[in-house]
Amino acid sequence: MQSVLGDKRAIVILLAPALLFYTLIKVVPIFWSLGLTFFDGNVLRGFTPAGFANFTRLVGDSNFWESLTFSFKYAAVATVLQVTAGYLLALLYVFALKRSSVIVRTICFFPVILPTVAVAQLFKRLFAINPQPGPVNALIEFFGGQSIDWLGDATTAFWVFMIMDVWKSMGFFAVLLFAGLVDIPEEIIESARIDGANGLRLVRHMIIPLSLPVLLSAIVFAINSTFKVFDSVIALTNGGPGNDTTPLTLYMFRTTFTYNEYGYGSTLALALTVVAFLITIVVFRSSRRDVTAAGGAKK
Amino acid sequence: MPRSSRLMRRRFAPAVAGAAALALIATACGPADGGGSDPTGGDSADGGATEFSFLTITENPQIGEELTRLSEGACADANAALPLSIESIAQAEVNNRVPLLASQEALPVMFISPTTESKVGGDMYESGALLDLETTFDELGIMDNVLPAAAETVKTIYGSMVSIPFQYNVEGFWYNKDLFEANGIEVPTTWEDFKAAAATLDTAGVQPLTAAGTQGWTITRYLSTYLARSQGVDALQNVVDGNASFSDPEYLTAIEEVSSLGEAGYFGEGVTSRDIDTVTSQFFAGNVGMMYNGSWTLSSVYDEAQNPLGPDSFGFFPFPEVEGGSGSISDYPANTGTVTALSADLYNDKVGDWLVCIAENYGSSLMENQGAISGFVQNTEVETPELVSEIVTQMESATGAVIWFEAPFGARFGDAAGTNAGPLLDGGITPEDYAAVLEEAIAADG
Repeated sequence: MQSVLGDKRAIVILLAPALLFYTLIKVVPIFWSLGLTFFDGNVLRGFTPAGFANFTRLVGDSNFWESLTFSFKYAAVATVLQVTAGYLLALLYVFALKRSSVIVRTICFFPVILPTVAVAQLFKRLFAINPQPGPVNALIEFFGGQSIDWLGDATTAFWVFMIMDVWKSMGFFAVLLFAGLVDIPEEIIESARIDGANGLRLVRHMIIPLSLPVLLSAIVFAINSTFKVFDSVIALTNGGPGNDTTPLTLYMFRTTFTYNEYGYGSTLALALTVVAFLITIVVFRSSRRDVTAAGGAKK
Repeated sequence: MPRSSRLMRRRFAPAVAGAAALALIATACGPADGGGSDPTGGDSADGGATEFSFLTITENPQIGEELTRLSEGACADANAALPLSIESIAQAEVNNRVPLLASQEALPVMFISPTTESKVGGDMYESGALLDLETTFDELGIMDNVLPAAAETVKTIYGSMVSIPFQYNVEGFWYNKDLFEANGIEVPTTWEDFKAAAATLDTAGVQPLTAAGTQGWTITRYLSTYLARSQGVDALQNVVDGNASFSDPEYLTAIEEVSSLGEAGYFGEGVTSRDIDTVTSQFFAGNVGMMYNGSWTLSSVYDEAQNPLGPDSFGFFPFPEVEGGSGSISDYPANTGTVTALSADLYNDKVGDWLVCIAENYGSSLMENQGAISGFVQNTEVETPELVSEIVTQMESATGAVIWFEAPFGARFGDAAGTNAGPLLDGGITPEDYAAVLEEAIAADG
């Protein structure tokens, strides 16, 4: 085996098929899509060169800006809520439930493994107004209020998304952050307690700084998944009412596959990639700085 | 071990390992059955189809059910020569799946095709993927089996006979006779009477109307038919031709009138998020006075499970006249259902045999088994229920066809009109903004 792996040609030959396969299914389509941004047309009509027309159109496309704004809003609010809820749960596991947290962890993790479409259907019924009021509207009516068409209004629909997202993903973030919290040496916490740090002061000045690296990882995960939200939107509101809950991913999908504008759809995909890349750079830069700060705190 | 043997192993080991890895990938990428069977049901030795493959939509099982019935009965011979094979996809997938199949020359023999793309000038039509049904039916000598009005409707909507008229529908208002009688309401024939009837029901504590915001067409049909009544059946064509716009006062009036029905609360709470199943269940439960829908609802009317009140409780009337308008109450919104096209490439004599059998038997079979009206003549006498006869009479008396709101425009227009229709009723968008959204979509469609 050593003789095979010690041979550069062997390494090349062993890696080549996988590399070729990866290039064919990952890299080629990316560059293919990039090339399509300079064309107009679709698979049936054929493609004609469009120069920079798709990019000019992108800048003046109000639907693009609206869907980009919605994507940012969704990612920002959902990230904050998901990570906060996950962190609070993790604190609960570590400091309140301690060794008896296994059952609670399992229960809270359960929604993570459910299919998004099934969860969306569940929330559709939960917040339904027709044909019968769902549990939420029934509760409102019980207390003398009037039923609300939660999914028929952009603002209320947005908050249904947030509740659904937090419910579905907080278990995942709780487990992720739990792993970070249990890694904090017990003696540091104890010495902080002896020094008089308790409750919120302990969390703010000791726990958060020491768990910052894993917290930032959680934020990266959250931004990554929420900025690319797609399936839950399709299942819950299909981007409506109007285009009010249409993220950039859905707009890109519709442009390409419903309106059959492959060139412009690819341009939207490129815009999405660039924005996601910029967000990644910002997050990783902050992450590097803060990890150092956390390391300093450890000292 | 001899030195030469170790050298050989050293030299060939990497090559053997690499070849093995490549072989693994090749195996993984190869066809599962190891053969060359064609999933589309095409490419027989003499050209064309090897099975009568049909790609339909899950939301409308009617055609598939009736073809299955025929394959076991009247079309057994055609089925023995070319077995029927049905696959269903969601309606929302048609727009992306079917053009992709066409581009890969992987279309089934018969398929639901995207409406906009199947019209003359649309990508599906211009690609040559769709069989010219008028020529084919003429060659097969079965054109006499197609109702002339149904054939004319297909040609009016799509510009050519691209769709088999498995359905032939007129649309209008279904109403609850018991609720009308209890509140002393006559069937309205004018828009003002219609609004008065809605107001009377509302005052009596009955929800006058229902529609589904998630299926925008249940609302946009009000707009197209109101415009056909007020501006004539060419109202939408005038917009296409650039001679009118939705922001013009007379067009805006139509949007305002429809919006005012929602503003008055006639559609009840939650119209924007309401789905079509809720609409029909509300109506057949007797909770709603009127529902805009098509003659395809007949199958639900005569279905005891869906209609516990019985068929005598419900009636059908045409969209009312708009006073002073240039349209007529005898111009009916008509359609032939979703576009059901045939692949030009896969057509052969055996497909032709299927078409002959369908043309001769489908009309009677559908009426007998599902109580629904198709665009084919009924060659076998079938006992027709009273309400069906009434609607057939109305179809026969139609003087002109009103095309639906989205039909003459592109896909962006269809999306914009449909997704904003619910908000138009619940105040989420003003009539002026709705008109502006439509204009913007027309411009984007190009």
